[in-house]
Amino acid sequence: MIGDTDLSPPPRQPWSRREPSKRELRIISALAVVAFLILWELSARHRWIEPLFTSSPSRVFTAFRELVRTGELQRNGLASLRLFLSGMSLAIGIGVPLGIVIGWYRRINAIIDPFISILYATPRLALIPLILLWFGVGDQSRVVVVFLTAFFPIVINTTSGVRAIDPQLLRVSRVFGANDMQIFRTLALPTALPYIMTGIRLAIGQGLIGVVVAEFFLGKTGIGSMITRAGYTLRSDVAMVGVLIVAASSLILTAALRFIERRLARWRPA
Amino acid sequence: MTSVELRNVTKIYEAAARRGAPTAALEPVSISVADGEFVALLGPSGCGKSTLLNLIAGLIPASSGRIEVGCKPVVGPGPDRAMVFQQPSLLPWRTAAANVRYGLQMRGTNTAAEQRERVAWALDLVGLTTFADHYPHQLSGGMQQRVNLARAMAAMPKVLLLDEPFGSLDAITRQQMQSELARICSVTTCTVILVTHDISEALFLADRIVVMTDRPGRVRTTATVPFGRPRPEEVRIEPRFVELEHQLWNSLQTTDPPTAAGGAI
Repeated sequence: MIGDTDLSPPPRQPWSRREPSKRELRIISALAVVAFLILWELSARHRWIEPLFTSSPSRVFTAFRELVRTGELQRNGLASLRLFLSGMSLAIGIGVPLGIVIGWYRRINAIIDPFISILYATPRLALIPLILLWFGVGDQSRVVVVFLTAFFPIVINTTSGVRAIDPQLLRVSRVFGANDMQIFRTLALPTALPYIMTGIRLAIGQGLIGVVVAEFFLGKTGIGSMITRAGYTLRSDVAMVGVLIVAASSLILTAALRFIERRLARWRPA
Repeated sequence: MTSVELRNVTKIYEAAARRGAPTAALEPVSISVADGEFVALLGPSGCGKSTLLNLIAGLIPASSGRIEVGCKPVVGPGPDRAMVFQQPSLLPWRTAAANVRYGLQMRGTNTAAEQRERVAWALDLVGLTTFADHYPHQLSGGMQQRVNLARAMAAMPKVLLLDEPFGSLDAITRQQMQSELARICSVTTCTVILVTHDISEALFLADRIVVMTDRPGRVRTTATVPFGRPRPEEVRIEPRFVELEHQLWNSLQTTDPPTAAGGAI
């Protein structure tokens, strides 16, 4: 009987768990970071760990202000930014067209794919001595290192993007008599675009690694060499500032790319 | 005037695997469709009726036989034919209007103004004018299929090929779309070939029903539907309709070899 239906919620099962809200999870994350910073600061103040090695949040902040005051951070930051932008634009400028070509023409892919696969499997940083040999000590070598780290995510994603055309849409375009160029413009490119953006987003992280490594080995300027020098001179606070700058750049740039990706994909279901 | 003429058309698919045997999808099929006629190809799944439609569309070549549309042999897709697939197959990054324009753009035979005019006409035809700027994911399955239909109609084909166009819709929407299609076909003069496995759909829409056998597909029998077009929804419960439905059901069930002449019911 309907009247007898018990509408009160069923008794809570002892094993059921309440799903935490997104907000709650964010607060927990923030608290964890704050707790870590406090613990770090305390361990340095009370000399639980030798602060010469670990520095401390307050020392890192002081070092940051000092570096900004002397202009050292700006100078090195700018040098790293220029290196990053040169390497990235080269990687995008070559990676995207090349990815499109090898995604679209199977025969060209057959020629180029073995080289890309081999190079991709190679730890590219192991090539630094050779790069040094070929391009000399200077800007060129550094740009090549950044290019080599950023290039592969872009070319690989672009290639699979061009190949991801929905075969059903291909049939539609053929029914309407589309030629290859039209299929490329109206199907392949729009299909590939989100893949390309993802490739660039992944390349940003890789490219920043490239920047730091290139400056470790091949440079006198830039955040990377600032970190190396700080290490040699036992300035762990300065090194930490450098590391944090790189991490922050990576987070900001990746977030910016995500934003652009979302804007470009308004047609996608939310 | 014949619009579509198939004479002894066969299709054999090459073996996919190296050691597999080639599959015969169609045994010699001959069908002739008159100008402005609405023909339904009715048959069980996998009987080769979609293959037949793809052959007429020019998407795949026939293994033998002759296919003519408007007295010209089919050598590939052409502007005289348009096709509606079972899946809405809309470009997800294009709005409804831009999707309808797609076919016209690919042909590139119309000016931009003409294209706009035709898109507006086709969207109005399927009753989606207010949804012109919606992306496919914002439309229901039925609406997506209307856009699909509008895209084909905007191309103003002489022959409209429909490949189980309502197969992926729910029963209620399917019936609504059948009425909608009947109305649309009554305002245009194009020849329609509809592939379906839905007996009631074939009877509700077509002038003539070609019943096909199981794979390899052959014409088992042909039935002329004794109702004018477009038909009111009530026709579905008329005794004659129900009787024909039953007869077609029986002819789909039978495993007898088809009559040599491909005779009528």
